Amino acid sequence: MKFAPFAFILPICVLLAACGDAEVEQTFPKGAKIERKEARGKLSGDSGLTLFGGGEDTELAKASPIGVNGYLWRATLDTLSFLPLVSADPFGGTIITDWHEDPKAPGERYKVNAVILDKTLRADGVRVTVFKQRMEMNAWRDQPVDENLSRRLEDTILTRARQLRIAQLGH
Amino acid sequence: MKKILLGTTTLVGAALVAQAALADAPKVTVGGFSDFEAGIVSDDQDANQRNHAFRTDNEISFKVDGKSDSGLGYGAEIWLEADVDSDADESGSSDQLNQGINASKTFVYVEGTWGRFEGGANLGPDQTLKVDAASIARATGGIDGDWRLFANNTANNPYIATPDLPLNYGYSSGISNVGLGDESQENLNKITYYTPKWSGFQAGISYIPSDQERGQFMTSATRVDNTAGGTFGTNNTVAAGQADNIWVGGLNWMGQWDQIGIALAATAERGNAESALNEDLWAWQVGGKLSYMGFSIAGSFADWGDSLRLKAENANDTDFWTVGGAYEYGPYGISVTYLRSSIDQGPGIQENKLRNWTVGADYKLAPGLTPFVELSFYDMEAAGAAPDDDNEGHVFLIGTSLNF
Repeated sequence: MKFAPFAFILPICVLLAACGDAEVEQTFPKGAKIERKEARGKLSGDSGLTLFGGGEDTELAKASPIGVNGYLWRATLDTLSFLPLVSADPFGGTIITDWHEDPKAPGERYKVNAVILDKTLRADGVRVTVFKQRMEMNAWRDQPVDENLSRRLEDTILTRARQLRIAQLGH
Repeated sequence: MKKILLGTTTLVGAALVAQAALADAPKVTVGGFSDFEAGIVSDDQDANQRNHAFRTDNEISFKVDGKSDSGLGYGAEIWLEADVDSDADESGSSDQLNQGINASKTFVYVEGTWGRFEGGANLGPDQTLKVDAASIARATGGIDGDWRLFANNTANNPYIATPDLPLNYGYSSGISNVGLGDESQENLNKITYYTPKWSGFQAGISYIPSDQERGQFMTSATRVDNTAGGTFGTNNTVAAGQADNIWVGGLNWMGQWDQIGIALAATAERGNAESALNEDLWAWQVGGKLSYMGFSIAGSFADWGDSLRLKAENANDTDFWTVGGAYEYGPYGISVTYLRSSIDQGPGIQENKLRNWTVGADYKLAPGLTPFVELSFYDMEAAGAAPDDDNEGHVFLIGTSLNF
């Protein structure tokens, strides 16, 4: 069978599927001639000359006066709107809330710091840190925070950002 | 992808939907290259010739890239030929095949964390995953560069002039017609799968139904004794040296430790000879590259065996090897590459041998603008031919490459 010499492909695919902790890169070869040319750079810049699309985030970043992705900024403000804000820096991309004690859970309060990392809308573009304190012997004492809490807030912000973009772009 | 857990804490009030993968709107990017070079030739077959010529090579690429909500990447690439006159390198025997060459590559792709599929007229993994001396060559590509477009081979004797396996070399109708190669079959219609790069390892495989099919051209029209209206799939006429049901593949590994880089590769081509008089296609190449602080060396060995040769020839010892070195310092680069090949002509007949030393240098003058110079010394020895058919000489190239 003519395929037989290439049967080594199959166990490699199995290994790739099984070894989830291995370093996996989603990069694919183009051939020596193209790679030689690309190594020389491009007159149009690294990202090339874009005719259409792909630049919603870039365009928003350019049109927007703030220094970070507009969708993530808006989504973070919306998500943390139930907390009192201490500071919001649209150029540095930082949002800091004040301590908030939910009346339904007295004796426990939370504070959130959110940082937007980039001008592009990407899954790791926002980082949230949650702080928790509990009232003990008439003093607020720091408490450990479930690390999943920060991640859930980040996911909520990303979901909201996606909704905002879909609503704006119409698809 | 970040995982979402439903929580009971009062801090999280919004809906929790697991959608960290975000769709991107499709993007259309235009690019390409425009190369210009002057060549000066001096060899044993240059009598009554002007010793110099200009050549340009231009292509415009359109790339469409998108990503779905699930993270599936998809798109297409179209590389249009934009030359004033025919492209001798890409089209090669296109006139014989009655194909119009408007583009060098056209394909669609889908990709994800599981790898990438490509379908269309594009290079296969036997080209994209290989490692040989040309992998580190500067200027036009050293032993795989433009020297052979200027060198004389007036009797069109067959040689292996570039580090390619038979299919990519343009082996379309028998060994006697390969000349100095034309790479006209490197973009045959194929479907290709690449694995992602896993700890430096990557593999690829392609299936190619026929070595005659590219773009919209399918072999059915010429399969019935050149009579129009042939039935697809009939096989009344076969030409010597042609192949179908072809598989090509490659395995590549790249590692980097501080300033030391290593690359190893193995590639192969396998297919059925369409004529019962010919041997099947089976050729392979192994190669490696070592780099350290701007210096690099590379080499390879390839065995064509008796691929697609007439069985009666008993010619099964066709091969080549390459070796080279290069140095890169900032925008400057220089390389020396060497290829030595021999085509077996059968028992008792001298082999067709080719040796080529190529020295090249280039300088990145500006982003995308790279002037270069290149000097190739070649020696071709044809078997059983008159001394005039041997050819020894050199080609000097000077030019500039513009990438955009």
